[in-house]
Amino acid sequence: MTKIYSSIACNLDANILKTALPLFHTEKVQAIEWSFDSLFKVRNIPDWFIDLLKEFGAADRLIGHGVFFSLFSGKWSEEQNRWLAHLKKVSHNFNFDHITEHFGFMTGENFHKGAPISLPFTEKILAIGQDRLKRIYEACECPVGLENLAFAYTLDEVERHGEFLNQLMESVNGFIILDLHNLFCQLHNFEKNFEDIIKLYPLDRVREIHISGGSWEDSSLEPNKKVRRDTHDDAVPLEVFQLLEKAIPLCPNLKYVVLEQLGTGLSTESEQQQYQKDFFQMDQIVESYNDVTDSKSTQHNFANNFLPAIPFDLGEPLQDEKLHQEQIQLSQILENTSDYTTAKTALLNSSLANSRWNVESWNPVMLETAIAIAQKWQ
Amino acid sequence: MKISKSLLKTIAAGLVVAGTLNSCGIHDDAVVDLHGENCTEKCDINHAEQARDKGETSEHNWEDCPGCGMG
Repeated sequence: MTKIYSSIACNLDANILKTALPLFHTEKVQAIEWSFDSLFKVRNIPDWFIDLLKEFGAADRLIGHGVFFSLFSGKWSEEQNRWLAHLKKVSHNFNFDHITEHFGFMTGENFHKGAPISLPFTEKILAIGQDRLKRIYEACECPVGLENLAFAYTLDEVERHGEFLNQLMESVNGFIILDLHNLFCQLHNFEKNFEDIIKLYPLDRVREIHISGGSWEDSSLEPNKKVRRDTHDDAVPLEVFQLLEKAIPLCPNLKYVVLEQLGTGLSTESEQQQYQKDFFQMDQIVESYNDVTDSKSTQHNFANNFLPAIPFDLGEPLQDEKLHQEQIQLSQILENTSDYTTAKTALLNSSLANSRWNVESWNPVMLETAIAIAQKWQ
Repeated sequence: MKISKSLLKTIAAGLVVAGTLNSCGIHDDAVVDLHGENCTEKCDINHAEQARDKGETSEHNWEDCPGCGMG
């Protein structure tokens, strides 16, 4: 029987590594997750960081987390070709146990600008996502997964997200990262209970769970409402630990629980201590579950290897010019309008009006949030 | 997982040298050096400077952004 690994997101970041070093000394960090497509302010990756990656890789405890592939971009780009070539190269150099990316498409013209934004759950868009996932698998030749998105325009989207992820991942027998802080954002922003939403997810496809902190944002449209955002810059809230305790027993193929925090949120000693405290709290929850399954000699047997059963026949990448144009229009509106009213007017006068995007029903506060997200990462 | 003590010491020493190295910063203007597919392992060309000389990079380099939901 295999245990669930308490893990940390570990990039070449001084604050993260300084904070993680004492945890490495305790031997409690069972695996690390590296964002292989995020490059750093150094000319080359230092040997000691490579050694760290290789040490975890040799123990089959290195997992890769991509950020910039932009899975649902309607137009195939040269940057996506390069991203896949890079993935192939790093997969050859490091032994990843699996590779993951994010749901959505990136706003912004530049490949490394923008933020992941949701899009309509239609058959055509599903086919594009499935095509991209197959290409990722072909490059890395290990299990492929996708993370649930924090942001949603409507409650309907929140309720359909799990099933759409399932349909996507079936194409590669892939898995999902259940990001509990992302889920927490949706539960808060749409006033839903965990039990109502979690049952809509394909929980047997959860191989990895993320926990992290975030922030509250005021809404000018509803001054009494606070919007929860997944900014990864603060301690893990109590509610997310509670979600973790509830979620672990529901996920029979869970292998990794990962604590994520940005290095920018770990600059002071108290922030670093809080992160370490968060890790130990997470580890305690994970180990309690491992102990229970040990004593019962049950069920965490990883029945699914999350590898596709048959090889793919990949032709040219699927493209959707109309989707591409819609994504450009939406990105431009989100990045360039100053407030909700202007954005709403622009949307209703664009090709997105009365379309599969269903912009007419977007929650005003969430549109306001989308503007803030897009402009933050512009 | 047990990590060798020598590696942990090397990481600690490396961090002292690396100083304020970080993987994300909205307001930074650091230049990242990218090596391409055709570069050898020991390639010492500063591609970032080359790109900047050609006017191909902006002040803010978003390749410093971290692996997260960015939301």
